[in-house]
Amino acid sequence: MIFTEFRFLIFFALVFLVRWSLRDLTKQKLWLLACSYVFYAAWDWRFLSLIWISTVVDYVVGIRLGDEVDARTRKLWITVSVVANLGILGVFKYFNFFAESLVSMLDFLGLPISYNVVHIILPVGISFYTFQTMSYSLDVYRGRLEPTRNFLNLALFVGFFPQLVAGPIVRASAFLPQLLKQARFQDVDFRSSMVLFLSGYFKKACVSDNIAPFVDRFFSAPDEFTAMSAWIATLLYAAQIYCDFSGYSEMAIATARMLGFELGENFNFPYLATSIRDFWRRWHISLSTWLRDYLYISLGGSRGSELFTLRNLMLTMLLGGLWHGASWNFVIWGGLHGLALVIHRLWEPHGRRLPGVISHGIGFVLTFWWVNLAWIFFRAPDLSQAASISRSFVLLTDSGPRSLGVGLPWLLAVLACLHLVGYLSQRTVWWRDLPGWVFATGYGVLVGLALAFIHPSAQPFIYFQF
Amino acid sequence: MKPAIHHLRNMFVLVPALFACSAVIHQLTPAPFVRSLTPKLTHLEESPDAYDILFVGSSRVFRQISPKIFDQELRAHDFNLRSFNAGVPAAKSVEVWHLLRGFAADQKIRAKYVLIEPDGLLIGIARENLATEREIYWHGCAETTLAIESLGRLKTVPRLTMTGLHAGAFLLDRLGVGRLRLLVSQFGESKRLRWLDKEGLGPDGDGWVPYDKADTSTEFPRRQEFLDDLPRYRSMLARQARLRSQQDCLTEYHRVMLANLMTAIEALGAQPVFILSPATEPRCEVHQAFRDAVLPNLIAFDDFSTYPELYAVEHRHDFEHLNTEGSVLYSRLLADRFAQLMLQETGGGNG
Repeated sequence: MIFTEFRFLIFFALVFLVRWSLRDLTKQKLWLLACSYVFYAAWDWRFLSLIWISTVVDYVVGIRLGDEVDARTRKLWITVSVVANLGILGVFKYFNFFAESLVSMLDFLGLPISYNVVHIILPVGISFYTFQTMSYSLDVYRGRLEPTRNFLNLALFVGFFPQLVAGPIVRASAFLPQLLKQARFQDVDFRSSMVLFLSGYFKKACVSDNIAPFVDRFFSAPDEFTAMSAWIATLLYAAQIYCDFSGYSEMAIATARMLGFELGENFNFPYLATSIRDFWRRWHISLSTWLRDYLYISLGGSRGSELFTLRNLMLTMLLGGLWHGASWNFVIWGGLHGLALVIHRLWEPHGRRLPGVISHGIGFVLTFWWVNLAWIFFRAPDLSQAASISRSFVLLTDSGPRSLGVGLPWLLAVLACLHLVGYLSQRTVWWRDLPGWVFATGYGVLVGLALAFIHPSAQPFIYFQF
Repeated sequence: MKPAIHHLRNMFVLVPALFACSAVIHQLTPAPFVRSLTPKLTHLEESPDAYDILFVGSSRVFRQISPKIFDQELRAHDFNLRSFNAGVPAAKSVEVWHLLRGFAADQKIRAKYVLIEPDGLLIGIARENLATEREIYWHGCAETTLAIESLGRLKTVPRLTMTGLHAGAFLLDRLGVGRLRLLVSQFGESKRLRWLDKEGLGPDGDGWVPYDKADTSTEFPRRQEFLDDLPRYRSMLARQARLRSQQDCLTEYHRVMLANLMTAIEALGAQPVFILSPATEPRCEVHQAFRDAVLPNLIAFDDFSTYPELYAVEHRHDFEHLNTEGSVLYSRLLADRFAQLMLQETGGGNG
């Protein structure tokens, strides 16, 4: 079940009506938890067990960490959480990747061994909820959070359906306090939720899904296309993945808000970033802050020599790339971002001497170009194709005679204008002051227009595969 | 409860606004692109007087009738008529009715005869066509009502499921879902090329795409299934005569549907000619309709004993369809029978 499906509308209407008709807080939470599990089971009920394992482990670890004062025992308990969560992730997401990489390496060293690929289904949202539960235990371990003794609260924190399958990766410190007090119906900002949901729906169903066929056409046979087509396809993919993921995040945030919960912001116009560091403050914010707080800082952060800091930056981004998928393409994608962060850190003191307009202008162009180059590795089916496309992208050499479509630069221009309008109007809330019936009429018309642009059958979100 | 009432009141404004907007879009935009249909319709609309005979129906028409062979055979009978295969794979009778009504309303497509195979009087929705333009486009109000009525003989659960699917397709059609997608897809390709896709008209450009010439990767299991189970095929043929002569298969729904088809063809200014292809499962309701004089004519080939060559394994693609050789043979036989029918009615050639 996905947010753009008609059946989700029916599901959510039911969840919403019952949630706001229940008076008892525990019953409300039980209802939301049951609905969350139904939502997940709509994909594959068997993998609910993994969510339960992750929840139970971190519930027990949290309590033990709260009770324990001995440093060694505490370390042991946090190891249990990390091993359990990364173990689940390792088996279901990375087993074949590591096994195949090992076989390739042994083969390279002249020690060939035979290996049959084990077919393992990747459970939806596994990367998101394992990171979320792990962050709870890590926060308790670091003394930043009191462990919850209410199992229902922790289970709902892990399983809450709007963010369960593709984030935003919610922090326990932000979510658990919201479960302690009764939300009031009249306090819910329905207008902003509805506007946010429609914005996300438009991005996903009207933009991303309609761009996808052009992108797929190029990436299925990149060697047949011109350099211009490589540029167009890469820029279109940048638009597709942004609209897909930020659209999902907006719908998730809006859905949660209508149920009385606030999730954190996940995107903030990343393509307008003026440096790669700025980009990561705007793109998938919940993941980048997670990586910063639990990986970069755990590695030592910037508490050492410059070289040590640069190493930590690179390691964080390489692992961040691997988090996205079990493939060397994602590792290289992370590596490219890591390299850019390293260069940015080294250049930053010199860049400050330039006038702001010039440094921001150059920074914007270079960042956008680099991010797009990296997207090629993210999207290409394999490394050799990625190398071939990036050669075409960088050196402007044609790989073949085919053109992707003469009208597509215009489409890109339309999308860029829409993005800019979105940026300039992000703080505008004129619709808040409209009379109810005017808002409702306008909203109905906009929904009608959006529906006219969508594919009749809902298309899956790109980030579900992670 | 004040805020709840306030929101509810706004919903009563929002929903009509949504439907009003969708109705405007529905009215102003062309029907969505359907791969197996739109190129044919575009071709027919661009040459309204080019054809005297239209073949309409499902894959039994689309895959099995070659207008080129049919016309050649008619010329041997001194009938100089041109035909076009407007068959659409998986088209059920209600969809064909929708198409015929569209032809008549637009007055862009004309014909003297419409040869129709009333296929699939029980209207299901194939899994692969769920929530696609292929299935949505024909779900008008009257069509959806008829499609739901056709489910009467099903058991409760499948009937309710199928009713829900038809209602969903109707809703998607009314909401104009996907009607403006073409605006976006046009950025990437030429509109002309897409809407008048010559490949969609078949190798002879007359609408016929035999199984052997089509991308039939999805059909392969059916072919293999047929070859693997020839004893079942023979047993199906053995009970063909009994099934064909069965009584009480013609329901009130069938009568209404067949009458609708005839009315739609007549509104086009054409004469309906009902046909039944050499299928293994005879349509007893159509046979009974002819026996009861509900149908004015019927050219039936679902008789193994009369047309053994059409049932020879080397002429079959699968249990229900012919391969290219079989289709050529069938097109000739159909032309012969059609010529006989015209001779009976007109008493001479039609130069």
